[in-house]
Amino acid sequence: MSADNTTAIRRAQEGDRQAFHLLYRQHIGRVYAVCWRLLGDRQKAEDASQESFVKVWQSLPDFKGDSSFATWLHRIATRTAIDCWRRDRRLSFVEPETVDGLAELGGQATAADNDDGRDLEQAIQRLPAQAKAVFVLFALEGYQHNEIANLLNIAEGSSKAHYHRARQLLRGFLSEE
Amino acid sequence: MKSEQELDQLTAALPREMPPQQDLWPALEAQLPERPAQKRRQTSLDNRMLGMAAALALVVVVGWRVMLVPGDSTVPVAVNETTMPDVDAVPVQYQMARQFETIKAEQLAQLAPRSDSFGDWQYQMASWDLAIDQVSGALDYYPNDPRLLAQMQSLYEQQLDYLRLIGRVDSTAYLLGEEL
Repeated sequence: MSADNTTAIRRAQEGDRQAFHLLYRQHIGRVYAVCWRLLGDRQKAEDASQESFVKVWQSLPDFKGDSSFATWLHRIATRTAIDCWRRDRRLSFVEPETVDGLAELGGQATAADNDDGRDLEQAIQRLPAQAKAVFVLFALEGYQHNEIANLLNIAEGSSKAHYHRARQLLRGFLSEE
Repeated sequence: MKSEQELDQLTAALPREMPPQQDLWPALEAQLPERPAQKRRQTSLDNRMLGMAAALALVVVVGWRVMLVPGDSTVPVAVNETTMPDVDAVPVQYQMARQFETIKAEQLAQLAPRSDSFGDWQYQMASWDLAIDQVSGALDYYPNDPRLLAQMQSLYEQQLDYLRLIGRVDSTAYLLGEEL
């Protein structure tokens, strides 16, 4: 953690909104990504992102630095997104234009990778709700199956089964014309 | 069908960050509540300011009594920089109590042994003492609460006025029909 970051965290803990704005700018991309991938809807992802940062703001005085700030913040965002996902759990398909927009906005890769990336993002959104959540959390967010089991209130074995099913479905979706 | 390895490569290539299409900060900032810690800090600051204001008011009142009110000039109240209590170290109610109790003790010491004109004036004084104790006890729970401090100051002032009245009666001015 850089000295600037440490200072920003300390000042935000003291209620400095400008310092919190700096932290927001540093982390909004990752927070929005997990919200969007779990919820599959721009408006819901924006709402969940805002809710996450409000929770972070409220919890900041309790942040003791036991873990990295990014890890701590991202866990709050993931839990918030999962709460929203649980409220809105359904098999949802995303409009192709939304995914196109997403790929353009998120595009850090080359043009060729963008096409594949766009296809994969679209395929992930076609997964059944539980399989999608497990895949996003395991493959993209780096959670372990026991952690995912706790987050989603499912058995660890179920998490593994959903993950393998998700992979099978994704391979099939990506092979479609 | 894509292979497992191809899927892993595609997954690894996905961006981990994704900026929202619009800036969420303005709406987010409007939702940020004032933190309880901020409230506590602000309240603490307010109380401290009020406490200092109350201490200043006390000094002014005592100074006014010493300098302008006849009969109080004999009361040696020293209010200067060397005896000013440290407002950070001593709660305001104790500073106030110390000031008033000093004056009260000196006024009581000057009273003549007889004060029959006021009946059981000691009972009346004890009633005020009891009320002051209760307010002081409340201030232990709500330090520097401005309303409690004002109440405490008012009770002490009533006591001192009453003592001053007793002193004048003892000096027989009241019995001679002079205006007090």
